[in-house]
Amino acid sequence: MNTSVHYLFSERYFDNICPKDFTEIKKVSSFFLITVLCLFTFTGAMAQQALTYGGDPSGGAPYMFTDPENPNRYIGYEIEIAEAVAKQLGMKAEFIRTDWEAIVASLKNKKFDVIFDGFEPTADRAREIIFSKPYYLFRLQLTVHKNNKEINSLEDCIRLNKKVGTLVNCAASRLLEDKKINYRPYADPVGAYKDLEYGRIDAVLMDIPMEMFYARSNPNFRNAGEPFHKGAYVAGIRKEDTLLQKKINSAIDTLLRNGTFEKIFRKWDMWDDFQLQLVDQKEVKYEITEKKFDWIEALIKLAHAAGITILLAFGAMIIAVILGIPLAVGQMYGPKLIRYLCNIYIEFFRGTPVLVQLLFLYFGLPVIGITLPGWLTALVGLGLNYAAYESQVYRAAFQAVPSRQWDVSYSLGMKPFLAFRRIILPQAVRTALPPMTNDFVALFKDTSTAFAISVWELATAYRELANATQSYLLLGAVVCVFYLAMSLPLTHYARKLENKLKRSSQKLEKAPGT
Amino acid sequence: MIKVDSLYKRVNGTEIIKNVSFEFPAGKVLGIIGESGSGKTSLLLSLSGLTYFTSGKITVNSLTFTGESNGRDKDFIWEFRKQSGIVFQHLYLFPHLTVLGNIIEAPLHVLKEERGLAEARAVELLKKVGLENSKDKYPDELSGGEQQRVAICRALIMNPVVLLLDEPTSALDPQRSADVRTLLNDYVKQGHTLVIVSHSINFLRGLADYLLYMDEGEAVEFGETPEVLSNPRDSRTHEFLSHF
Repeated sequence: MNTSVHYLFSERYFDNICPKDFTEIKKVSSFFLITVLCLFTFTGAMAQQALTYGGDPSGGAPYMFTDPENPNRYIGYEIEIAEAVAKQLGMKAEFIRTDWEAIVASLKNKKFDVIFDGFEPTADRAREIIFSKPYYLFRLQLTVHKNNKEINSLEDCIRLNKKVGTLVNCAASRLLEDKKINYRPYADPVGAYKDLEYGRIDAVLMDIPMEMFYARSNPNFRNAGEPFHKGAYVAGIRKEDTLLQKKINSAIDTLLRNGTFEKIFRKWDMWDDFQLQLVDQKEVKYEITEKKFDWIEALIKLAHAAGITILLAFGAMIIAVILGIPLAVGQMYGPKLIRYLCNIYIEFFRGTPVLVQLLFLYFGLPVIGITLPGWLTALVGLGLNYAAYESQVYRAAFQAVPSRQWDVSYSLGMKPFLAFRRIILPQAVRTALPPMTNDFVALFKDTSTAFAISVWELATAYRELANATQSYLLLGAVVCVFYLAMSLPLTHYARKLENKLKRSSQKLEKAPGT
Repeated sequence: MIKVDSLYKRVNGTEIIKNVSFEFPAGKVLGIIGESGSGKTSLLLSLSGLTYFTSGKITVNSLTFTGESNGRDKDFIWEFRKQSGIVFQHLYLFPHLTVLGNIIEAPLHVLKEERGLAEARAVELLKKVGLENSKDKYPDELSGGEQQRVAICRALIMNPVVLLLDEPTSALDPQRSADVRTLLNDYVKQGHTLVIVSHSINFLRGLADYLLYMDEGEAVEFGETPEVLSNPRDSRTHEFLSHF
């Protein structure tokens, strides 16, 4: 190493002693220089070229969704739109997966440069970010089950007080909220249409692209009335990026006129003459929905959601505490087959995520004809799950009671059931109580998984309200207070009970025996 | 009368008790001695009716438990169990009940006695062992000797024909162990029958009327205490006694 540095600095020495080597080194170093330069220009070009865009694939087809042929890839017309726009700008589109409800916040936090995700301009969003011009005009379609004869418009839903499903925080949900219609927000269109099919809701109001993809071909559904509303899909851009907005607008103009977008929309079966307005007119007017927010209403909603959380937690714990007993007894004392079945049950529920179990119960059971409402599914699902845990708490607690306690009881003439009830059980309960309290607190928090099946519990409420207000911090604090207000009294009471049971050993410390 | 006839107990192919026979009259005390693992405790559990044996017969008072009736007649087994009270080496008092609660549990729920009567009988027993002031304490507030006496009271309140004790002094210092001995002596004087498993010859000397020496599941030596101690017939007994 040292010598080679020396060579470089003493050319003369080099010339005289080994001229051949020197030219060699000259060649090598110039090669390095070129490579480094290339690398710089290359990465420079890369940085310039990438247009990062955010979207949520759980919104489903035809926007962006997992390619059924290749689960590692997302496809959808929004992806093609984003790629076309980026190409037009001489950039490379780079997809950043994000959460729909936090999409505006993520854009503002510079997680990506632009939103492409069937994104509608709304008055509340306009306060936070700016939009491109529209590249697609959508309408809304109300869908009902084919056996439903009474609903033919949104007005019918109001009149008959019917439950309408739609996506979280979209034009349809705001419209429904505005008209004070009883509605249920879903995280994805599949869930909403499945629930319509299973009769959990009465109608679904959805943007036409989704309705086309998920409902139009389903023979169990029919359109309730004509499409209405005129909304627009735009790209969302940060307020300060006006230059990018200008560039994207002119790219959209070009791509609309040269037929690139039409080709994409036709491919996805979304093209209709309605879109011609975008091509023909310079300024297209569209309807804007606004999400209204009022703190008192939000607190009432949170309280309501907290009530559901309490119902879920207590209901599920009651199921778990009761069902855990036969599971534990079966596993410990049952005949071989029962023991085997109990083990399968316990290992299945402990070894798979509760979220997957809830989805399985919610969408799987209707296939065999059992359709439970979401809250009941969550209650039963969490109950079944925690029963597996409670059974193990019981098992450990019973095994902690010395077997000689049974012998002593028998020798005193106590029959097994009496011995169990009077002698074994009270000792086991002492051991089981602390871990059970622990599980209950964990269950309280696990109720938030009910979000996956659109149960309006506290965590769902938080996500939705925080999204509406963009005040994640303040609402988050409020929600934490709600959770703590529920779990702290619980742990307090449980500790008191534990201490009461331990009372004798505490006395021992104060007044030891002889 | 207690009579054991050709008793065998096999667990997983291993003989824990091999052809044990002996007999002694009611109102007497039998001491069972031997090394750990010699089958002493298994024999005691068989006498109590808590565990089954493979073959042979056990007669306690008027009831005879045979190997053949194993598990067949549940009612008989419960009747047989009632004849004896047992106090284990580690006393296994019920930790969630007070001293009084431990003693009256079986009278209340098995004999269906009135609480007042059961409590009165319990206090009477506690007085005999000098623990009447501790009746509201919990087991973990008592010393080892006190727990021993409570365990004995708990067994005695069911009026067993025979009281079985497994290593009653193993956890006690010499003074406490002498106290327990006095207590048991008083009890025998009232005409009760005792079977005591112990590794301590000194504890049994002057208390046990008969001695049974067990080794590897066999009844090596059985006889009246003075005779076994002074003139053992088997060399193994001699060898065992020479350690004391």
